[in-house]
Amino acid sequence: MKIKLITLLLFTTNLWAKPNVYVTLPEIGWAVKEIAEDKVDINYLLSGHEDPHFVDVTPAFIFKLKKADLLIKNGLALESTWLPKVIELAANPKLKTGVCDASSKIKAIGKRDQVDRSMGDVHPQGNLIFFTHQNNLS
Amino acid sequence: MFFVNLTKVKKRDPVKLFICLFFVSMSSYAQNINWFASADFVGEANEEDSYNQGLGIREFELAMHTQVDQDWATTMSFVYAQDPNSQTEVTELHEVFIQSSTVFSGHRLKLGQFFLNTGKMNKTHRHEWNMTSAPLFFYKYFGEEGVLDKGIEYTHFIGADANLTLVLGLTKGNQFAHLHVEDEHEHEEEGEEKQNAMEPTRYIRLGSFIEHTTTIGTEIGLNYIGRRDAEKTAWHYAGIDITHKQREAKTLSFLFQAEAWSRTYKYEGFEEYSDSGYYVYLEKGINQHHSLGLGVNAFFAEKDLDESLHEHSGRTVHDKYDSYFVNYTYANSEFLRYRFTVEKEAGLEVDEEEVNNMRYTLQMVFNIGKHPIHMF
Repeated sequence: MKIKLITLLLFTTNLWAKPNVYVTLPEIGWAVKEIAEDKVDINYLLSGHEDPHFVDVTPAFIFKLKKADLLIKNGLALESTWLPKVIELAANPKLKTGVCDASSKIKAIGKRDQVDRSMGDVHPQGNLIFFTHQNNLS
Repeated sequence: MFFVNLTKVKKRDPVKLFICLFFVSMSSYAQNINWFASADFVGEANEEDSYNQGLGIREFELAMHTQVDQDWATTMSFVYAQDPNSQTEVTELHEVFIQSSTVFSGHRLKLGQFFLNTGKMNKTHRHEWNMTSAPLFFYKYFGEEGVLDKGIEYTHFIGADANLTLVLGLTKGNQFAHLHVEDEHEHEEEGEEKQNAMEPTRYIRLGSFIEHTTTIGTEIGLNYIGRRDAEKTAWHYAGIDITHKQREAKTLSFLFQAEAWSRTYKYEGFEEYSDSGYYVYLEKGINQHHSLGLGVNAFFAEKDLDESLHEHSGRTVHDKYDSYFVNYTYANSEFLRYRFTVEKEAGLEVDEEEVNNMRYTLQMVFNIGKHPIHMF
């Protein structure tokens, strides 16, 4: 994640301004702060008191992402009910390549090959709460 | 196929059924196409005998959404609907459009046939409404589901502190209020094109969104629609819509939704008439499963002269109509809910006499396929 983050920051921003990094969850913001320190401006879409799966697509999110140089999401379908639509409506060309999935290197537990709704609203890609230990981010 | 009684299928329906079969047959191997289907059952009982009584599949919708190319995405949907009274069945193409947010760098462009992005209810699919049925004024102005037409729509995200959004639209205008119940006159005109409107429908919406917190927001919209139909009647609609939502985790803990519209219309050679209507709806979510709603809607006119939709709704209004309703919604999950509504209506006209009516509706909505997007 560290290499991907630095690469994306270099290619999506000019060198004179601090890149605007948007994160969906505060936990991701903490991780970015640890890695990038004060070299980026960290902006949060959610504040931590929401259920990230039950968030509405609002114009406020759209306008925020219009200013983003990079977006980092939790992934594993946690934000699947709203974030893709917000990205689509924001139509920020930087986000065509500038969306970083924090879960891309995570070996999620509870991954299922086949799901259906008789199991409830389950996530086939596995347990999406992986910010419980910093080792998961290394 | 899809509950369609083939003995009742009308002459032109095989084309629609073909489209339906085509979509479904593709589903097993089509790549990256998101499918969504929803069913909306409604049972209705009225104290006034001449109004709808019975149970029907008000709407079964099958929709697909996918990218066409690097710039354009498409949404296509078709609908099967049943009139609870006459059991008449209609299968039709609903929305078919492409849209892009990249062609004009961040501004959204939509081309095709779609529900106009005006007001609150018109741009929301009916099976996602928090009320079972449209308020009477909405029905009279925009049809049972809203205005569906072919044309072009441009959305400009202005931004600024007020999160302003501007919508401009121009559509063909030969269809306006959208109904699933077939027009009696349509049989006579089967195979003929509907007459073209004298002027296209044009509309504008300026919306502002206030984010109190990430889970509490308020949206206010100002709307205008103008058109001139084939009979040379000029119609002008102006409206305001307000939506306030509060969420607590999985629960929509509080909803305030209201719209007020006024219209003027002038038949050629006659003086100008005007009427207006509004609804206010409040909903309190007890938890993710249970919620209670309370609403009022009204319609005022010097005299209810617009008879174009009377035969469908069965409701004629003398000069003033109001209704109060309460509803209870049980959501078994995000994908299945039941809603029971009791409504008291006053100011209706039946056989030239003013009557009051109690209406009871029971609704069941469920969906399969792609997880629904949570729109504000």
